[in-house]
Amino acid sequence: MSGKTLDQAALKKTGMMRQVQPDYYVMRLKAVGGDMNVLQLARIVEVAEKYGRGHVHLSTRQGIEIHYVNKDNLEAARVELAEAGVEMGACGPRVRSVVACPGAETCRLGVIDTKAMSREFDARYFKQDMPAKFKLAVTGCSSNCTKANENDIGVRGAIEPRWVADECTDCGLCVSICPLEAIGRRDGDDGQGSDYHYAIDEAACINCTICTSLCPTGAWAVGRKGHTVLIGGTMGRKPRFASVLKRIVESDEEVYALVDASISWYRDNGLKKERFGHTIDRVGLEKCKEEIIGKAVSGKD
Amino acid sequence: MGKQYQGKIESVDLRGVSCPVNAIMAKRAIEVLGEDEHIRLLLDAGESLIRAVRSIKDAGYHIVKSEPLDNAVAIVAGKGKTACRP
Repeated sequence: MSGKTLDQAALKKTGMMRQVQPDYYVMRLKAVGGDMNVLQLARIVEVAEKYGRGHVHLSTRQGIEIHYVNKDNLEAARVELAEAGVEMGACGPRVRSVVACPGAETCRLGVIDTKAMSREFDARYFKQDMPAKFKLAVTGCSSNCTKANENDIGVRGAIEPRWVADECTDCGLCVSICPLEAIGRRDGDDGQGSDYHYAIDEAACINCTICTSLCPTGAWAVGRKGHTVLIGGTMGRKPRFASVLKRIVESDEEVYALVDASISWYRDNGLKKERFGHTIDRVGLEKCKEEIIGKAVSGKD
Repeated sequence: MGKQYQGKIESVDLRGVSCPVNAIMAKRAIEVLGEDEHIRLLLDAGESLIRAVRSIKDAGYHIVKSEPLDNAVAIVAGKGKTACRP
């Protein structure tokens, strides 16, 4: 490859970025949900030694980057990585690698199968062109280890707690332990035949599992279980925390319909290099949510 | 809270003790109790309380009462299986 003929935009699309040092590039590798097997890791080591400078960089989005690859070796390195199933990541205005926490498969706090959902997101959207960079994250619960609020689209495992009078000993632990102080004790029957009841302030509740997992007697049961879909988060120069599009979405299919509709809406409304969240702010959150949910319900892309 | 816990019990003040030491000390305090005995544990509110309670529950012990204090919470815990219903 000659330096004069290298198409930087095309290289970025395949996860290769020019370094400060002339003729040297970063190779950004894809790791969906931060997962790689040992054979892939071994091949990355080989390639980093052969074509790089024998070290790798762990990115903030759970990926691995090989630095200091000479422009003349980029294709050979890519082929050798691909032989072991290591795919290139993405840079530029498109969908980036999907990040995810371990989720319900191994984490005791996990509510949803984050790995399966991140793989599905990857299959559906990875590298698709967008008005600006576009990041998706899946996090298993409200502990939010994958920082769903900082992504253009975040999906967070969520439960809706339900108080069961027959199991309650009135110990009051739930009131003390709720991190959002969303639980209160009230006098009077709530319809379950008790002279008191515990109630949740739904606006304050973040749908975590603290009350359901720590109630000593199981009086806080999991009612509905699903996903909270967040839109418009970004860090960078103009940070914006994501907004809730919809809480407790129970089916995976509805999550995918909402994400499809969000991406479609952003493509229709986003300006070049304008992040999704800033498009939402320019258009108006309520209008955006209404249109996205409308698109998702009608199935129109 | 509605139901009353009967009997005089000892207190262990774990306020200011950071995780995971507060959880370990809480479990130790419960471990030496008899089947029908309980202990009052004073814990810092917030994440410290959450982690201590998770540890206590994981160990198979029970919490029978909780009382909010200034930036802290007092819980009454025991090891017996009947302890959850005083």
